[in-house]
Amino acid sequence: MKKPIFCLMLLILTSVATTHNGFATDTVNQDAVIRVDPFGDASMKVIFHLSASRWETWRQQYGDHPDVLWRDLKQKFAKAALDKLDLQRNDIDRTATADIEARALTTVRDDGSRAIDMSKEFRLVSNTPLEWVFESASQASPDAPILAQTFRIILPPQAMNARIDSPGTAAQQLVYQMPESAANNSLLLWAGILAMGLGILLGILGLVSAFASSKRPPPLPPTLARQA
Amino acid sequence: MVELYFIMFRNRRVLAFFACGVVLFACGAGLLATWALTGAKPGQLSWDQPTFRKSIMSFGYKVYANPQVQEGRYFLSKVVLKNTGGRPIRDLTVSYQVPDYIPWTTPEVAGELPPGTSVVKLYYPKFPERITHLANQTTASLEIKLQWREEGGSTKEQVLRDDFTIYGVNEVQYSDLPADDILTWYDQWNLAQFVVCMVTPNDPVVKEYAAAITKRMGGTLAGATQDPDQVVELMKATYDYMRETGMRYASAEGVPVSIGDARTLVQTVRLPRDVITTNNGLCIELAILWASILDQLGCQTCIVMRPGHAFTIVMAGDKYYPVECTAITPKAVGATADVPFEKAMEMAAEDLQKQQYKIFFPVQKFRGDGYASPELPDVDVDKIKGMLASREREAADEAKNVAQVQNQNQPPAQETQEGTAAQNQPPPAQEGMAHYEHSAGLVSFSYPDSWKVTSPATQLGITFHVYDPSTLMGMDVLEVPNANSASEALKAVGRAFARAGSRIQVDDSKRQGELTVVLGHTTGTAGNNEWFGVFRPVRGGVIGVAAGSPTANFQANRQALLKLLDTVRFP
Repeated sequence: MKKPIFCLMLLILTSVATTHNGFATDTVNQDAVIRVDPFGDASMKVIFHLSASRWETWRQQYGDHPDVLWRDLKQKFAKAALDKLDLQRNDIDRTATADIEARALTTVRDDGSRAIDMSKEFRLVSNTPLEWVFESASQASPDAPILAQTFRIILPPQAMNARIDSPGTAAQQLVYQMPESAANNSLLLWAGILAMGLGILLGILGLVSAFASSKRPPPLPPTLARQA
Repeated sequence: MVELYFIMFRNRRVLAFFACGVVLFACGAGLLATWALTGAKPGQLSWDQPTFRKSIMSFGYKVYANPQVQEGRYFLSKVVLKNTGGRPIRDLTVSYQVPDYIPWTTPEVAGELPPGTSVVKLYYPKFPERITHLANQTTASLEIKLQWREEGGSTKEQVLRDDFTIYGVNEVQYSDLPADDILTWYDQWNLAQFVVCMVTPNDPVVKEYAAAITKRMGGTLAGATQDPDQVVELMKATYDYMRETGMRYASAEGVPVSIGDARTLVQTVRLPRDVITTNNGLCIELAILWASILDQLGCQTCIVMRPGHAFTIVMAGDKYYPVECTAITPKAVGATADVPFEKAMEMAAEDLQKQQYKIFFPVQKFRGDGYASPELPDVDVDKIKGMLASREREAADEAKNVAQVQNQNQPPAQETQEGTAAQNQPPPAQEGMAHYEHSAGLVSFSYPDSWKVTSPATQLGITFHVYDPSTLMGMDVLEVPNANSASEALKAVGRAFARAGSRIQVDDSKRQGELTVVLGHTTGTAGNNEWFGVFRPVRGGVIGVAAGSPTANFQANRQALLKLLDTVRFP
């Protein structure tokens, strides 16, 4: 099964990506930047530029009807909790930008790590610990355009140990870990109690030590000490 | 005390103890304060108003159970849960129940939900097979039970509930979009792909029907084929079999229905087994039947829907062959005589070409995507075999009878020539008129030469048909073997019409010597007609000529029809 993000991006260009415009097969480029927050929610920005004929097709289907795009997105991508869509288009240079906000983009795995499902069509091209770039090229039919997509996924600053699980397979996932929050950290509680306990213990030891010192006779004066 | 104080600050070891103790205590207090300030708020589960599907189609129950179909689009409920508290929520489970159909079930345990995170829970119900026993729409309830445990707290529970409609097994809901959201023609058909579930190639009834078709062909094409010629041959055999065994098109329309805030088109569509049993179907039913039969025979098929109509395309390699499934009933496509298979293909190809709005449902692809057929109740296969055999016998009898009457009425060549010369008095030739002469010289008449001669419906006893394309007036030659009188002949013709779904009624008749003049009308799925007829017993049966027109303009054409009937000559 295709993954939600892939499908979501694909739907925005449905009519363009699946129809032949009567000319030679061309390439449609789509760039997406996905920023994941510490809670696994995400904001996505999708940018694309189209040729004149494809722009006309897209405009008729979604460009002039962002409400229909929003309806289709919500209906067809059940697994995502979409909250907001903002579609801006520039008819002069035939470029459109869609801003989408979604909840629960990541899933929490049994081991507590977070995972983002990635369609196997996406190939990792570069990465830093917090920024992962994927690319894919697909073609719905021999007459349809080649859809070249670039995904840049930006993980939250606290993310650790990010990696790709099952690369190149249908189960491909971008996995990372988040530090447990203070709210979730029982270590904090026990460390505090332990520190306070140790502090009290040291205080008591100090007191005992001081008390023991007070019971001892004072040292002999030097003259007496020499005689002794 | 003063001494002790003095000792504490004079003794370095004691001082070190105190200093470390104070620092550790302060750190511990700080950690506890941090924990208390940020983590004191317990986990709290909140959720958006769940999305409940308003209705489901019972014949597609396997689709709703499959989260893989169209990215999980056909969920019965969707709830987005969020931990808005400060501590994790543990042991989160979401259970579902549809009373009378599905007991409490927990598809998966969500487990832990960290603070601030959300999770989407979708439900894909696994309805039992008996849901297909529902003949009419009924209301059911979905209950969602949320259970969770706050860290260190007790288990909590909440039940959410909503009603939904389950459509009867023959009810197709073509769209579930709210009326306000309908923008284009396609929006009204956003669920039309469910018709693919009705394609049931493995139904024993369909298998028997397909077997009967291939049996006629000598069984040579039973099995998968991608050869275009063989596919076309198979299609032709299917078409001819349907036509000859009396399958007919029965027109009906879907009825708009409102459900909740959604306006939708719901149509009663029967499964192929029911179409085969009753031997008639709507365009969509015939298209589904075609797809089922050809699928059973190993062909790739596609159902096409366009405004007001549906038909089937059969594919072979990169070639595709559309067929107008309803052409088996000539009136359905505006014809007055049998439409040959080649013409039915042409009609569909033209339709495909000229229609702006159309949707294609490649059956095998959709089935691969999860649009699975329902499990169907068992049937008595022997009974189905018997029914099909009976129909085939009737069709064979009809053909045999027609052939017989033609042969029996064929006099020796010499006699024919003499008889024709001596007895037949052709009407005087008139300008603009064409002349019909029976091959055995049993009857002749004249008709306007602008009229069109088409293939006659021989299974109805009609051996010649000519009609006016503009007014639909027409003349038929009827030959009924083994009949002794006009009334017997009309009864036999009436039975043949009845098998084709039409009815003949004789309103008046008058005998004049050997001739019987009849006024009658025909009603059926293809429309109503009134006609005059003149019949005469001949050797081996009865022959007659009828001249008629659609009821709506019969009175206007009455005189013209009588004039035409006046040109009829018997030897």
